[in-house]
Amino acid sequence: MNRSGIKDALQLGASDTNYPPDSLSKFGLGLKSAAFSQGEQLEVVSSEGNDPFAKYVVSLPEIRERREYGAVQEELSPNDCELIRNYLPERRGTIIRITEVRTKNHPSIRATFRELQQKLGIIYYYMMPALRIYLVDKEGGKTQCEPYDVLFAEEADRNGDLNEFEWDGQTTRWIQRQREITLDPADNVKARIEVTQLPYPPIFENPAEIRKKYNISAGNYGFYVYRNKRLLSWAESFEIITQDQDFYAFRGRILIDSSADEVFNIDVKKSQLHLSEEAHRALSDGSDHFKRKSKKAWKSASEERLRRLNEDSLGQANDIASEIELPEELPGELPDPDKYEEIDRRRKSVSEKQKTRLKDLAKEMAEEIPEFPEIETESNGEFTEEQLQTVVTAEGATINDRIFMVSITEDNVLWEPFYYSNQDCVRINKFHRFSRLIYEDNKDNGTLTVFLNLLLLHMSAAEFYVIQSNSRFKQEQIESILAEYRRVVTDYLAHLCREYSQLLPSDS
Amino acid sequence: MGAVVIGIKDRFIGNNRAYIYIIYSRSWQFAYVGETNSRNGIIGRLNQHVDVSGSLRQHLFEKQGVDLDHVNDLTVFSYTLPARPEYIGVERVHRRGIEYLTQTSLRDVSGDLEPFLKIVSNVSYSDTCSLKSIRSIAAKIIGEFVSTYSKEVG
Repeated sequence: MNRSGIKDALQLGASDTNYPPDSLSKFGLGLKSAAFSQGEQLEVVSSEGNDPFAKYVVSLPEIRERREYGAVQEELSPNDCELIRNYLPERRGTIIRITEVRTKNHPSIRATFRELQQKLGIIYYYMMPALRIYLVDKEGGKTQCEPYDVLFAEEADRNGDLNEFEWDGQTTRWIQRQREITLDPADNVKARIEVTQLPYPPIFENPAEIRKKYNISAGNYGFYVYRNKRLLSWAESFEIITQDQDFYAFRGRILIDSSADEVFNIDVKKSQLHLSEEAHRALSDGSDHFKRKSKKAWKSASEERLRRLNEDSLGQANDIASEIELPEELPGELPDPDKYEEIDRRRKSVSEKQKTRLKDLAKEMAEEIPEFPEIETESNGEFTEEQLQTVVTAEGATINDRIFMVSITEDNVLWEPFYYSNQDCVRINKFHRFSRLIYEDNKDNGTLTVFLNLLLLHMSAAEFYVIQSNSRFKQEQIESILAEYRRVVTDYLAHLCREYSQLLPSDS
Repeated sequence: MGAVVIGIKDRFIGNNRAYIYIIYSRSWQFAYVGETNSRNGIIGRLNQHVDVSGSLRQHLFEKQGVDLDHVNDLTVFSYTLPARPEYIGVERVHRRGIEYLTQTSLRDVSGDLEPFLKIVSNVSYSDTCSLKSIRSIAAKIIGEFVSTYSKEVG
């Protein structure tokens, strides 16, 4: 800056029109308010290169005495000259100095350096490494600030998109890769948004280190808003990301330029953002998706941790189920040798139908579940046993499980009997409202979920039993009636959850 | 005074059908996205919306300060969902997934429409949004809506 530029910079307030379109400046108050929040005196030494360095000082004690705001020109001090020699060898640039720093209740120098180092890396992330920032201590020790990506996007690129149901909590994943959103259709104001899910610290042996590395804590989750590539707002909630520990791993970034200033209602310190109603609705609608994924992933990782500790209810139910041998005949039903042949035929028929069902499932899952691979059949059109195992063990199950939580059931029913590896099994529809009521709203009630899992397993097994052993009716008739029964129960339970949700118990 | 002819094809049929609909007005520049498996189809649902306590009427007034009675160019775009149990059943989690993606996608393009539209409906995310079929249907709906809207004479 030349003398006139320094004087302009030290004026109080400036019109928007004084700044170029991508400027970081807006109101003409930032330099002064930032400086005087730390100390009593602001000094600016600057030159464009054509003229000698000029120095102006704004001193709060003198302003109080004069009762008038203003800057005073001063001669360069020996210390100014030394700084120019050391840091501005081309004899152009600017030195800003804050003196008479208030030390009362101020953190230690070391703590301030540590905090500054990380914060500067976050604030100027997009400007680095072109912009080099050094922290220099009194002894001349120099530390360069490194860019710090709060989203850990490179890690997310390596690990891919978040599947909230299967995430083990150990990797950073994309919840939303960068995309454009419309904040206000009337002025067609756009922003770019991206969201990642950071790791789940408790799953690690060294959770404290993970928390430190990723800066995971109460004050750091939410949206980081960058205006013209400089951080404007740190971990903003916008009253959309509520205070909830389950959101600790949620990191969002919103990139805007000056065209979005109106919808963000940026205040004079550029530290408070108040979204317009329209922009708030746009962000809130879009974020519903991110929040649900993030929260579910956090819970999923928490369940994974419990599973590892062998305390999860699905694992527990499967452990119990692995011990269960169902009776071939019930008390009071005497074995009738004449029926053996028919029972055997039906058993084979059920087994064949289940194989067909498994093949259909392979296709349905490849069509519906993004990460499930399309499976090529053998030359005879059949699947290999390994391929079928892939279908059975999808969505986090193990091959010995008998109770499966799944995304797809036949006709979208709550539960679907399933016969695999000579065992009665059950596939439970995790998307059904009743499932969510039990497994999400009442997930702390492990006993309830264990019993429900076992109930559905036994209901499924009972269907196979009736189909195979009841020779008074044709097999197809029984199958058809039981399927219809399941469909009606499914719809009745959906109705219960939908119409009477306020009466139904939940953890919260 | 004047005669108005309203042609109704089969949008009143709700039995074993489900729909995603977008009710909009070009002159008042708003859009409302919804889903229904109502027995009375889209027409039945529209009737509820324009009723005194209808959610379209209420949201339009709350969010835009507009009295629905002043809107004289209400248009309904509706899309019939596949007649599969997950779409036509009591459980609406699949319909909700399509509704969510339709609304958020419409919001994304709302500023590019001529004239632009402000969204006045509320929406909630559903886990089924991750299913390919749900995404595919929502994309088709938005594609068809944008095409229809752009072709209309303002």
